[in-house]
Amino acid sequence: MVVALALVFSQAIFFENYLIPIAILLASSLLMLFLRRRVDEVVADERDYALGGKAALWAIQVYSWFAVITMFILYSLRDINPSYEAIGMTLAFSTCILMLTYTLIFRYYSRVKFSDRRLVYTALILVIFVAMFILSLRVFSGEDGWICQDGQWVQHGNPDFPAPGSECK
Amino acid sequence: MTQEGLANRARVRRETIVFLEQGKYNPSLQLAHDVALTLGSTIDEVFIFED
Repeated sequence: MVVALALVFSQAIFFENYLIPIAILLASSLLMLFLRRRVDEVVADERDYALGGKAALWAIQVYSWFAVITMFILYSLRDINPSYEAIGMTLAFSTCILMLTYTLIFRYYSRVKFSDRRLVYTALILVIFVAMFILSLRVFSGEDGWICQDGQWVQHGNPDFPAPGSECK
Repeated sequence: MTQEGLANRARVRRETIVFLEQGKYNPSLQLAHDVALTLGSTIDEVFIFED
């Protein structure tokens, strides 16, 4: 099934059709849920969930450190390639969203009752981060930048940073 | 009773029973109760806790 999914995704990307992978992914997830319910054997028990929780915590920490360090490195190199800034912002916001998601799910499972005000603040912070993420994609998407034409850097739109220092080939 | 039989009755994977027997995993109270019940014994008799 994984091989079939990989084939579908690769072909969809080749033909630049990105709706098919989303539809196939949703359908395959539903199929997995349906098939899993028909299995009588125990697929995962308390030990798996305990180990999974530890693994998830470590994965979040490792990814967060990697993303933050990489973000700063990319920011420092943005003069070489303007797209580095967009990649850095993506890493930063993905880390924030991951941590917020983890916090919300952790609170849900610990059954801590939110006061109305804390729930509103949490939801508001989440919305702000999602909005900033979308805005950063729009601002740093490279629409306003420098493109290489005939061996020269030419403005595309209205970039607010100087032309890249690397040679235009 | 085999490890697999005990695992099926306690609704856990066989690997978990293996780790329990080797003392490498501390079960939850629910699992300890289920295992003891399956073996027709009590938690105190099945599980020995060493300080």
